[in-house]
Parts: sequence; C-alpha cells; structure tokens
Amino acid sequence: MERVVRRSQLPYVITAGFSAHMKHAFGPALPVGTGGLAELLDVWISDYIPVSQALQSLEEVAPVSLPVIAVSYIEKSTPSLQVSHRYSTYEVLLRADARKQADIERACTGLLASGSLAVQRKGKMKNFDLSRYLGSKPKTELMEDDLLRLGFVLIADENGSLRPENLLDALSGYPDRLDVVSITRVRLSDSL
Amino acid sequence: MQSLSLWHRVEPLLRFVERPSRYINHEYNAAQSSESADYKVTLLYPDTYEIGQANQALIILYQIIRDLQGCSVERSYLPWVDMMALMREKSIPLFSLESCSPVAAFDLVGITLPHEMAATNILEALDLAGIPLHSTQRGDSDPLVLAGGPGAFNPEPIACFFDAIAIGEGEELIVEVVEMHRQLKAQGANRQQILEALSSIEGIYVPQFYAYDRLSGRLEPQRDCAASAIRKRIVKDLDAVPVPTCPIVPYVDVAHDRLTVEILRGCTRGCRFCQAGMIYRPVRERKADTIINAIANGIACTGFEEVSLTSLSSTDHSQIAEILRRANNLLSGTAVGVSLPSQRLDAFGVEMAQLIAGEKKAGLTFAPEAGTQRLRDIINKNVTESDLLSAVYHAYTAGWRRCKLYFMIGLPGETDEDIQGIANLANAAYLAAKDAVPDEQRGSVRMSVSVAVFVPKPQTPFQWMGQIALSEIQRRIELLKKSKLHKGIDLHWHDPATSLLEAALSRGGRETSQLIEAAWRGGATFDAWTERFNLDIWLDAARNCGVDLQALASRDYDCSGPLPWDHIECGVEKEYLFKEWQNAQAGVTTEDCSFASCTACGVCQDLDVQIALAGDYRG
Repeated sequence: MERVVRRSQLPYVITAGFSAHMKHAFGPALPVGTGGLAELLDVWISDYIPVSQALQSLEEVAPVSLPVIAVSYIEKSTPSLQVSHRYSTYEVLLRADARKQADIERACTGLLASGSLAVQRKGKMKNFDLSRYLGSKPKTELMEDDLLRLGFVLIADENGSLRPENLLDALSGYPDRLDVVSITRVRLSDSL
Repeated sequence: MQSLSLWHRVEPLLRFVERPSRYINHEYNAAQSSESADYKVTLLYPDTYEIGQANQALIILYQIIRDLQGCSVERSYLPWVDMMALMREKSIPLFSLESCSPVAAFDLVGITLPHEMAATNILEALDLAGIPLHSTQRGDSDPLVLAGGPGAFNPEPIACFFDAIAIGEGEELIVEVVEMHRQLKAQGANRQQILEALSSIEGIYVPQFYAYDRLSGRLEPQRDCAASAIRKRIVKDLDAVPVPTCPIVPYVDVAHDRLTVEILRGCTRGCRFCQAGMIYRPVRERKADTIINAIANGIACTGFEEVSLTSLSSTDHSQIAEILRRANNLLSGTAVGVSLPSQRLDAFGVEMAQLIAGEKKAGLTFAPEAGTQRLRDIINKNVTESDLLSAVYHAYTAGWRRCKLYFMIGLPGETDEDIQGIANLANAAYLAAKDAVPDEQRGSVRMSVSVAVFVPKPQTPFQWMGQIALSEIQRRIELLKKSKLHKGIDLHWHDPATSLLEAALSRGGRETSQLIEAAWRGGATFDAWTERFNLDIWLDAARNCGVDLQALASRDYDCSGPLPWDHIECGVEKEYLFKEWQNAQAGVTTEDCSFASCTACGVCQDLDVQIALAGDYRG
C-alpha cells in the first residue's frame, strides 16, 4: 500500500530520523492465507486534498485485486487502528451439504457451551475465553454448488486474539475434516 | 489455448503452505492473461517466487514479449517443497501465475539458467509440469523448452533437457525465436522442422543436433543446419534499448525488492576469475539522460522506495557522479533511496561517498577478493590495500557504520600467507573505519568479512584449472578462523561442500547430465538453499554414475586440448584467455581496455561491436 500511495503522488509525510520513510500505520494484520475485503490504513499527508480527488488518485494506481474503496480524514488525536479496530468479521466458504451444515451448527453450540478454546502458540497452550474473544455464535448459510458460508466475529485485545483457523480447527475436530475453500475478513471495525 | 485455469484446485491448498503469496499473482503491472493471444509464452525461473521475481533478465524479456502483437507472456516459478508435495498428492501440474494454466500447455517455456545449483530444480519443474525431461523424448504437443542466461556459456551439463539454448543477450534474440516458432506452428511444422529452423538463428544452440566426436574431442554438428560454433548475441547500442520502467511490484518481500535501472552492461576490468567479466563484454553504457528518465518513470510507475543502479561495476560508469547527483536531486524529499550493488574500491572517494549516501545509508560492499597484493595481481583485481583503506575511511566519514568485505579462498597460487593476509587487510580496514568516526561513535563501527570458495568457471582464464580439494578448503577456512581477526569483525564463509558441487558441475561436459538426473531422482532439489542442500545425495548419485565428485571438481584440463564448451563462443578468444592464464602465473596484470588501450581479447572484432561510453573516455 505504501507503493500505491507513492504512485498516487499524494503529498505523503516522511518521518524524520536515520531511515526516512513514509508515515503510515496499518490496522491489525490479516492472518496468513486469509483474504481481506475492507482493510484499513492511516496515511499522513502534508496538504489538504479533497476526499474525492484523493480517492481517485489512489484508485487509478492500485492493483485490481487491491482496490482502494474509500478515503476519509480523521482527527490527529484518533487512536491508532491497532488499538481502536479490534473487531474482525470473517466469512469462510466451505464445501458442505445440509447434513454437514447441521454438524457444524451442533459443533458451534458445543463450543460455545464449553466457554473457552485452548490454542497452541509457539509450543505453549493459551486459553481463550469465548465470551471475550468471539463476538457471537457463528452463523451458517447454505449456498449454491454445495458451498456453505460460515460467518463469525473475532475480537482482539491487548492480551491476544483468536485466529479464524483456530475456530475452524475447533469446529472440525481436526483441520482436514472441514473442506475450506477460502477465509476472508469482510469487515474490520471499532465495535460489533 | 482455451482457459485451463487450475485456480479452483490451487486456492484451497494455500492455507496449508508457507507464504501463499508466492502463488496468488495479481501484482501491480503484471500482465493480464490473454485468452485471445495465438502464441503463449511462460518464463520460468527455477526457484521460488521471491528468488526469481526480480530477476532482471526476466523483467526485460517479459516486457518485450508482452509488447509483441498477438503474444501473451506469463511467469512460472518452482513452488516450495510444501506446495509441491500437495500438488503432487492432488495431481496438480506446475502452473503459471497469471492465468494459473498448466506450464505444459504453453507454446514456449523459457527457463533461465541462473547458476549451476539450479540444475535439479530445472528437472523438478519439467517433471512437475508433465513435460518429458529429455528433448529427444518430446513430441509435437509438448511446448518448446528454451534456456538462456549466464549458465548457457557452458550448457552441456543440462543441454539434453532443452530443445534450444539461447547464447548471449536476449533482447533481439527472443523476438526472432518467438516469431519463427509462431509462424512455423501456424504452418503445421513438426518438432524436427521447427528445431532445424531455429538452429539457423544466430545465437541459438540446438543440443540434439550435436554429438561428441572421439577424433576431435569436441561436440560436432550432426546436421547441415547446425553451425560448428554458436556465437553469442549482443545488443550493440544499449542506450537504444528501452529500460523496463514498469516492472511488476510484488506484494511481499522478495530478493532485490526495488526498481533496478541497468546503467551499463559489460565490464572490462579483466578479473581473471570472473565469468561475467568475460561473457558480457564489451562495456556499453546508457546515457545519463536515459538513466534519469528511467528512474523518474520507474518510480512513478512502481512506487518502489529504492532504486538500484545496476551493472557489473556501476562506479565505473563514465557519468556516474552526474547520474548520482541528478538522481539525488530528483528523489529529494521522497524517502526513495538510491543504491549501487557494489562499489569498486579504486573508484570510491570522498565525492562518491557523499553522492551514494543520499537520505539513506544502506549496507556498503567492497570486494578486495584477495588478502595480498601478490594474489590480487594474479587474479588481476588491480586494487591496492591503500585503495581499500581510503574507500573505507571515506565511507565511514560520510556516515556509514557498517560495511562488508568480500574475499575468496582457493584462488590459483594462494598460500597460507594470503589467508593470513585476508585477516591483516580486514583488521587494517577496521582500524581505518574507527579512525574515521568520532570517538563517541566508535562502538557502533561494524564490519563483516565474507569468504567464498573459488570455483573455476568456463570462458575465463582459470577455466583449465581444477578447484582445490575439499579437505584443503576446510584447512584454509580453519586457518582464517584462527587468524586473529579483530573482535569487531564478523567472519562468514561459504559452505565448502556447496562449492565442491558447483565446481563439479560448472566445467562438466554432456556426461554430467547423467549425474544431475541421478541426483534429482535421488531427491536433490533446491540445492542453492542451505537447509535443503544434501551432499550425500550427490555422492550417492556420483557413485551410481561411476564418477568421483571431487575428481570432477578438481580436474585440470589440458591447455592445448578441447574443452566441453569450445563450441560456445562468447567473443573472447581462447588464445586470449590462455595468455591471461600465463600472465596470472607470472603475476603480470592487464589493464582495463575502457581506461587504456585495447588488450586484444577479440570480442569487438569477433562480434563487430565497440566499447560505448556515455561520457568522456576514462583513460
């Protein structure tokens, strides 16, 4: 995205110091292998450029698969995206029929009833309280071509975050049981 | 070719593999897959995406083919082992990035030969693609498999795996190959007719038309269409060749992740170990105006945060000070840095240190190559200890706090005094660096010494001599480790086992292909990756083929006899290389012909080309 901004010729601000670079900050990183449909980036610019003009400049030079959707100005005092935008809405596409959908829904109910999810990270087990880290019960929707959409919200805090694959592993018992086609973060927000 | 996209089968694998971004395509400036094109090319780099993506030759060829009417061009890389295992399990063949089509479905598969250690990856790529390994096994429905790159100057170890091999610079040659192949395919020509026609193009070598002749000891042509020697192709006016200013911008960190502007091609410094210095002759420079325009257009079209002014010896450009001054002015206030890949010691003074510094001070690399003047004269490096100390002093005065020094061990004529000389020279350079910085910053002075093992290369004055034995390399490395380097200097050395294999392959003949194939069948791939290289596989393969790897690496060739690459002409005459070998043995140096008079290497006369400087003659 830094290269998109440079190509757009917007008057970006450069940091002071030994290694000068464009002043910008990303929101929480996407897990590896996960798509994103509405990611956020803060960029500092030195002159006022009308929003529509800035958006057009960025749209013209963004890769087709990484389009810039919207631009807005924020107050300088706004907290960083890492701090403020902790709610990630995911959509997972699975190959599944109605029977599998029922299995997944039962697994969701069971998982929520258990109240927590144990995840191994770098050799250590960490327990996630689902009332804090999972926004609501995952929803399922059968689509055409034997595809199932599974939607859920994961919440990050200063102590960590669940990754979508942690939840999928828990729902399937082991990873290969769910035939995942794609995982996409469709929204990153500051509230549910 | 109809749409054959494998994406629906590839995408579900991505969450199970490392760095899925290697396989997703859609970067800025990537070509759109064109189903309407009647001729389709994929350029295949025989390593992972992040190693091959920024390869300059592929960037150039990609742009040229994309601009040809009715042609499309895509990229292919070898997937990493985790992805390959899944692909083989699911029977997914090697695919291109842009359309995710099977590589075997293209009209032409162009494979670059970056170095010897990529040999098994080439076989892995062909096999994964479902293309028969040997050229002679392929039929009319298989693509034309073409090779090119620096590895083509001794093609024999991998020759049998290719239908044709391009010798020399590809800007003009690739167009001729594509147009001829396309036309012949449209006319319904069969594979043999196509190969015969291609062999008539200057610079194209069709290996299956040559066979070893016991009488002459050479590879001799077996068809009338095949020339007795294949002369390299060369671009006479580099300045007239457009600089690729809209290369693909990767999403992830790749090797050489920056805009590269090739400011000159060729180097006539004459280092006797250096194959690039012989095969890319003569020097041809781009003009300062061309280069500055390319930087401006390139940054605007890519947004890269760094531009590298590349060549074999960028500080030798006759307008380098002007180029750096103008580039710094152009990029001032943009946080875009200008870098040079390495600096020539005797061309790095106060002015250069200030000009290269710009806004960012990335790493700095100097290559004295040898520790003593006697050995530097043998290899014709033509730099002195005082050149190094002066360059280091100026660099650290200008603000650098770390630099890398490159050396080789195992050079012809090397003694233990030369090994100790590496430590002595590095220690002196370190002290010069400390002298250049204020007292309170002396603790931040860093220096590293990287030591590679000398690998004799074809088409160089050292082509006749073998590499020293592995045990002796190890002894010399131990000697260097004990040689009292200053504690502020980090020492790194190249794995001697890797260098042994490189030496065994680099000067091999056609029979070496059996060893490569046996090693690949034994499981060797990604040999250039430290964590993947396994010498035991190669030793087993050598045993099975009845050869001794060490003997292959150490063999000396008779100076008056034939060499396996005699039929490949880089323009520098064999007699000149032999004269240079004799000069090396006598410790006599040879001047750079773009600074002094002609040294009669033969390249300008043989290829009808001239040294082309953009500025004043440097002598």
